[in-house]
Amino acid sequence: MSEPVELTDGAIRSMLSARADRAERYRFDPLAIVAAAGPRASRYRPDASVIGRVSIAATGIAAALIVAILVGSSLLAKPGVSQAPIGSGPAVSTAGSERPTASPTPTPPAVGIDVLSAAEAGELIRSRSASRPGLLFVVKGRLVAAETVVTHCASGPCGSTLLADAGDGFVVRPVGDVGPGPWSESGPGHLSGTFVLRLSAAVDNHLRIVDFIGVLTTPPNGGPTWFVQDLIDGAAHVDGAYAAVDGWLVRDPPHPCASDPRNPAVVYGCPTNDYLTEDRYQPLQADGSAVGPFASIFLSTGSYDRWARDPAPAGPDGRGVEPRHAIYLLWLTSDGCGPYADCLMPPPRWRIVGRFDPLTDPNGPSGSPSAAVVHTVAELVADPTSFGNGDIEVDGWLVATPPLKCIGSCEADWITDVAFQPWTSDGQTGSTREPDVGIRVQDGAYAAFADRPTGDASGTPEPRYGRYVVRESAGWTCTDGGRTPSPGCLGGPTVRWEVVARLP
Amino acid sequence: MDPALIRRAQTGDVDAFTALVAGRVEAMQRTAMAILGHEADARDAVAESLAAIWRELPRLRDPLAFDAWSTRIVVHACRRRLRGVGRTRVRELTIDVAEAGGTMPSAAGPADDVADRMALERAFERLDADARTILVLHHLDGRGLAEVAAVLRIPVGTAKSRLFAARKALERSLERER
Repeated sequence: MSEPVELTDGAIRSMLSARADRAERYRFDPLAIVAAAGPRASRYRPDASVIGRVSIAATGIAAALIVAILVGSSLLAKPGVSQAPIGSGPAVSTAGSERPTASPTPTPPAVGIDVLSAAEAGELIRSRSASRPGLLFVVKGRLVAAETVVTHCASGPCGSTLLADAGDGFVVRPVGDVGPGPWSESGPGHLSGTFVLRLSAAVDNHLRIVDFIGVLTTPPNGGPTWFVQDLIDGAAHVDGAYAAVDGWLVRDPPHPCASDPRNPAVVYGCPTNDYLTEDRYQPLQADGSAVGPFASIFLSTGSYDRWARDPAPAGPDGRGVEPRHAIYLLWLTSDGCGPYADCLMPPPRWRIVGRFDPLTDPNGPSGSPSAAVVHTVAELVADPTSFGNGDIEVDGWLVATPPLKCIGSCEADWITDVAFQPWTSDGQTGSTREPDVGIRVQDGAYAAFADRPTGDASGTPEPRYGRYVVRESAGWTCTDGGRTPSPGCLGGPTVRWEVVARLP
Repeated sequence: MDPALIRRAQTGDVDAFTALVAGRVEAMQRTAMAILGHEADARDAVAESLAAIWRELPRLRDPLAFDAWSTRIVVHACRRRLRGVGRTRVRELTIDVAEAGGTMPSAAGPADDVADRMALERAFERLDADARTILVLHHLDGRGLAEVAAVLRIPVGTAKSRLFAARKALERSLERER
């Protein structure tokens, strides 16, 4: 071409118009459409915009109804008995707000969430931490700093965070795997609200560790559960928010797709599309094709396989899966890449990070993998994303380089299957090296968790064998343990490991 | 849009549904075709959208919102297809010199116009679903920012910034063609 095309509105319109004109006329057959559509939705469900237009008087009446429902349900409900989830806002509880039933399969009663008091939470932590590691629960209370309760942090002995009025025997520690909890020991000093906590098998200084996941974003009526449509409508859409969502988890059959050269830890749309839907939905069609739901929360690939309770195949050839109903913990975060996502500035997306299971089901599967199985480092290296969120026990050698003069990360800590020394020195100069098989853990892990951490004459720490509790943590390659990409970050997300305890 | 017609369709009146959407099918197909660029995909997206409109129509609360609501369904269907396809197609462009020469504002000759348009379309093909969608809604469908915002359920300011970003992305992509 002699002159490059100028990008004018007219040029864009002309190109799009020519593109649109290439299609042959669509032959509209309404009866075929109706036949293929399946069962219809029963009625509309008021959304947030409706709530905003409700008159003050109507809101007052709705609030009174909600209070009555809440009081009634709390009086009638026994501890551990499932309750129906509470919806998203005042309008949900008013007359005519029954949930739509677009599915041919009736929605079974949801497993409700009990919001525990601090005292109830303390009892749960003391009695169930060993048997139900990974169990998520919600507590309304207050976190307080306690400098005199000493535990081990990455930088050495440190004070702790307690749940006020919950009794003793445990400390609360922010997690690094699925939340804004910092990589190291610093955590909230004083914080009041409704929190998501997670039982853990870890013990530090004879104190049980309970994980602080984050502050739960709740509906205006206190909820604490949202419906899928609430989030689709934009509720709780604040980066970093956590929401307990009542929905059906499903995915479509795997489809071929190109691998992402950035090798992100969190991928969307490849090789499966995973969805959380308001009503039961099966993407797998009778002809073997897959059709995504009309309205859903699009989740990262692997969400179904990781978080569905009793995942099961579906369809004549087993390529599909049975939708699974539960209350899932979702986290709005800006990580993850996909074929059509921008890894540098990804929009915040809801990502499933847990599942709420009944508190009184000692034999049921928990929302996170159990820590009962001990792994080798090689197993963790081979398939780092297959272990889910939560505690993982691994036998290995914990070792570190000496503190190095540098900007940012100043040492390298590893767990390896065989004794390994990452630091070599001739007394004048030194260099670091990586093990053939090892997992990189947070700086300071050796000092905090190795048995009798020592260094030889040159300051080189000696590898210490032990059984360590580690967690998977999504981070960014160009930040040091950060949860968000730094400006100019080109590396994309990656998997990190964090040591949280050493077992006796 | 006749609210009474929508109400009838909501109650299950197939004739009302037919009357409601028959006049919109062509526009739906043009939108889908412009976003997807592949006729079979566009046809599937329209069929999927029409089924979804019929199925979900009872939930539509405000009949006046039907246009934005139904367009959103089409857009979502296209986005799902782009997301699920995950592959690159090779497609031959039909070159109609006479037509192209009459619609492309350029000082160059008709053949150059066609080449320019093809370059622009290749640049467009490299855009993600969000950018394609907002450019189509604005430039092909002729929707103003407020309408685009209503379809995408985003604030007008966000629509404006996204449109600007999409335009810039198209410019950058076009640079690769030069």
